[in-house]
Amino acid sequence: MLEMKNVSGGYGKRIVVSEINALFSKGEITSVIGANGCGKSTLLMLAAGLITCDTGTILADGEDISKLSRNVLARKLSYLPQMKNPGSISVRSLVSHGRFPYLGYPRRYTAEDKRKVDEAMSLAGVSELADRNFGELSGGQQQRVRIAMTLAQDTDIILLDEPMTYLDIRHKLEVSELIGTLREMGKTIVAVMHDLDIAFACSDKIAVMNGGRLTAFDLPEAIAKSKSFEDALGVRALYSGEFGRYFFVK
Amino acid sequence: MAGNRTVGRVFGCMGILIIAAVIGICSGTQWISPVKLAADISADGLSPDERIVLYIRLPRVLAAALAGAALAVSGAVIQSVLGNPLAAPNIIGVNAGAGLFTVLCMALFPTAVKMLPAAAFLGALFAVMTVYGIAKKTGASRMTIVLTGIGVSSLLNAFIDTVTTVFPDSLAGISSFKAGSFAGVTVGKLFPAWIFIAVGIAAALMLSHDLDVLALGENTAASLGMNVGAVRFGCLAAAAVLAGAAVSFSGLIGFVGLVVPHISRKIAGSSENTAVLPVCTVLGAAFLIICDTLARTLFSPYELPPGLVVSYIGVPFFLWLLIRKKGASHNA
Repeated sequence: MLEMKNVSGGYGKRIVVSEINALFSKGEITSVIGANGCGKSTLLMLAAGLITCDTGTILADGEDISKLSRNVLARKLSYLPQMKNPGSISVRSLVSHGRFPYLGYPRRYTAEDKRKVDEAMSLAGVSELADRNFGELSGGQQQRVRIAMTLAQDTDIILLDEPMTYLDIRHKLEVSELIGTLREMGKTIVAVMHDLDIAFACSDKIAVMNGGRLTAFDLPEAIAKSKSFEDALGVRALYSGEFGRYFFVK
Repeated sequence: MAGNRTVGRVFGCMGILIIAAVIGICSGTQWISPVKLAADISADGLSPDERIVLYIRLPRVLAAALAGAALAVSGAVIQSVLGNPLAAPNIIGVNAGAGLFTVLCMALFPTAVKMLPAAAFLGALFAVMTVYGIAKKTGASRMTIVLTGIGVSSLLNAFIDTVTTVFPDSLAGISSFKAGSFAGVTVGKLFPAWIFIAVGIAAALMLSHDLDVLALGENTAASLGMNVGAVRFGCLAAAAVLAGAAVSFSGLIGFVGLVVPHISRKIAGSSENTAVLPVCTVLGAAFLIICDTLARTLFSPYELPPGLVVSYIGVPFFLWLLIRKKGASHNA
């Protein structure tokens, strides 16, 4: 469970998001949507504790994240940004880096760490890629490996920044299925989503952002009918019973 | 993760290092056969050959090995922290910073020879922090970091030339310093630099796992619980200690810090520092011993500055790298 209470913040003196109040529940996927530059990613970085709030508090399982050490926070909450290219590294090594918050010094992996890494790779369906070089994989495989790293981190709260961008449709659906599995495990999942089709199809709740503010936070059905959605995205959502999904028109 | 494969490769490189060291000790204006040398060592007293080896060649080989290992590891660490395969200590001004503080120390405190490594370290740290600070402030791209470094490097070199012009007397050997040289090095002169180098390499190896996590990106590393600022400062400080200590006794030898890390990544089969840094340490030492041996013997009895031989090998490699990198988006 992740709760944001009256949160404002940004970079230095520039406030990007203001007065955010939201409760992200356990076992739910919440997609954050909005036009480019509306503050979606900033919201996620605030929630991850990567930038500090100017006002307000963020509670992870009831604990104020600003009072937790980086290391303790990293065992409660993981954040998957659009990662820069990690260079030439094996899939197993990359996924193992998810265990960083649990490592003592010297940085040796315990049997427990190795087991968690194996579990994470098997859950993300990348076990057979373990010895491959990350750079040689397809975009979809790379994204599943990144998610496996997040799974190895073994946190209750998972924040994903555009987990499906640059993926082709088949891989998008694969990743969305994987995120669905995480929900079944009772994780709290917050994802910045660019693709409305996927956001409406896989989310339990949708958070709409507009001009740095959270203008709507509700079930997908309710968001589809709301004025806030239309204002923020500049499109309307139409439900087609025949296809069982939403279509977006101007 | 350093596996058995890495250990095997490090041992392979050690073989090269030992062969390079033996050849380096035996060759010079006059070849001394290792078999005869072994016989001399077991006999009483010091033969003339033994004296040559003990007082001239061995210190040189040691100096080249120390400087090579230090510059190579320094380069690998800086490249990893800045996320830039072209950021070697000589290119981004770290060597020049160390050089400036070294010549300043030589000019202002001519008797404080033992202070040189510390002065060089401060200069190197100053340069690397300046480049890093500018890169951070401007959110600089890879190319901007290199350009910033070249600018800082030129400025520092201009300062070096100014100091050497103003203090010509206390800096008589400056031309060999600028080209890089091991001529006239003694075991005594390597102290305390070798301690700096031992500490710097140990620190770099201890930080190698964290460096790998940092290479995933600042945000990823922070969200994995790392204190990014502290780790990055620690890594850059270790790199500055290494480059500074090497410059303090060998002068401005360039390109080792660029070439060796790249070859090491190829040999290690990975860009993970846990695997690359051990290979880099051994290979850097071997590479500079080979360059220095060539420098001493190619035009014997004339001696080329070893920095020149490094440049002959290093610059074409650097250009090839630039051409090849143009299409590729990540370092192999």
